[in-house]
Amino acid sequence: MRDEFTGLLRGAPHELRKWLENPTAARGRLTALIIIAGFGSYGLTVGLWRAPEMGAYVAFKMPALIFITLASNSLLNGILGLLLGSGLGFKQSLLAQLMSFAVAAMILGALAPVTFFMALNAPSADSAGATAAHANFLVTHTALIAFAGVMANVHLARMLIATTPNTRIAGMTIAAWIGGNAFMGAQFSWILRPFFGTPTIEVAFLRDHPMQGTFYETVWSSLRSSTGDYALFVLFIAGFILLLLHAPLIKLLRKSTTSKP
Amino acid sequence: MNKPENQSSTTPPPLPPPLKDDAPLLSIFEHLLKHPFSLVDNIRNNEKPGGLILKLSLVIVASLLLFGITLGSFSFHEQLWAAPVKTLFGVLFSAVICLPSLYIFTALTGTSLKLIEIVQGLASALALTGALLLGFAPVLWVFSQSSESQPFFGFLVIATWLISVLFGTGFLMKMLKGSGTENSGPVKIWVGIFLLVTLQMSTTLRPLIGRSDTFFTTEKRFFLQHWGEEMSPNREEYREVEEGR
Repeated sequence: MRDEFTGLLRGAPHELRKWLENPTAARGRLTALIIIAGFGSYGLTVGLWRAPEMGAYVAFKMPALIFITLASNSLLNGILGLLLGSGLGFKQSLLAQLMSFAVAAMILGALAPVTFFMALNAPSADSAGATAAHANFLVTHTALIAFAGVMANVHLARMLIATTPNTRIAGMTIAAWIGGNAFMGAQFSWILRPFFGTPTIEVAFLRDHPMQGTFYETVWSSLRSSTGDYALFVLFIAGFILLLLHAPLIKLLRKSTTSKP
Repeated sequence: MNKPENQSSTTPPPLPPPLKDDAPLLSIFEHLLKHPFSLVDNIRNNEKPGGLILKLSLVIVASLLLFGITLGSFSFHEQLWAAPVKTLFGVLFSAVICLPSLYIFTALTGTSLKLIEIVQGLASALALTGALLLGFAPVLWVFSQSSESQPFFGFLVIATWLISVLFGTGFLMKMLKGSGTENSGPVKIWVGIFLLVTLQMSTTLRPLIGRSDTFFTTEKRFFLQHWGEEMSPNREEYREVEEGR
């Protein structure tokens, strides 16, 4: 099992190909367990600062967010993978995405002791410095999750480059999968909120009426109220930053295009 | 799974199993997704085209009804049955009125495809579109339950429809390629016409998303005008003017 872990983390093409050529239930279970352990332990440290029960809630909700997103998109991603010519069946495409999330889970799980220490040392949620601590927490966790996400996507790209007929197909498939998962993941994270636990709002597993409103409408109306006529411009800048964050992935795809005939 | 290019450049990938004339529905569906050229081959040599069309029609009807129910779940009440009926009728009617132009535009590419083969190709393309719409259904359902904004949900529905049709009609391009024609320009234009027809149909059969006192709205409107007004910040003013008429 240790070999499988390290093989997954290393992301060597022949090892990744071996996984996808034989998508057994055992491999599916292993990746699911890694996701539960990694996102669960990291989630615990995210919520812990607000309150211990919040830590328990987030430990449950973070892996749940991944599984719900994958479940809702599994049929669509499977069909898109086939139509784009990746040659990956439904089971293989689901395992590929589970493997990618497992990489993110391992990174975040490995960082959990650090964020646990951070939560213990931050001013408590009922102290005078709670607002600043909450803001710092938000920025730090967003940066860590973004880093883990980009690394996971780079692994997914390596996997697809190794198994699909050419880099163009790998690029299109990864764009379709990441786009779909990010779109639905953002909405599910809205439904499953709170994660970080605003100090002024009572601790709860879910907010009242969790299905009311969408992530996108809320972001747009917040942008409109805070930036006025510049909302579109700010959105464009945010999109550009998101693209910059994926520079390693784009670089990998370009490198593979030039190395493959 | 496809083998990587550098593994063996001399050995061609294994051929998919040929599709039999009496193949079950699941097998046809699998070929539609995984081995489209095998299905094209079957369409060209099929001695019982009726059977294939019937099986593909089942996929089309089931997927469009389920997609329609997802649209109806935005408003519930009578839309739970009205939206699926309208979706199914709208798409099938659009396909029927666009079939003659598909036949002519296909002939313009210089292909030797017969009308019955084109009918099977169109049925396959619609079945593929339906399968993709089914894939999008969970996504749309989540937003239908979360959002109260008709323009936002309408935008999502149109985006999913456009993506699904573009992938679905890709089968027609593969069919052309399978028949030995490289010129697909006229059929690409037909895809644009078909999209326009379905988009206008969504306006003609409105409301598909929100509620209304009547099953149909009798006022004639071009779809761009309808959407422009629905997505405008002055939407309520337009509504009042419309109700005052």
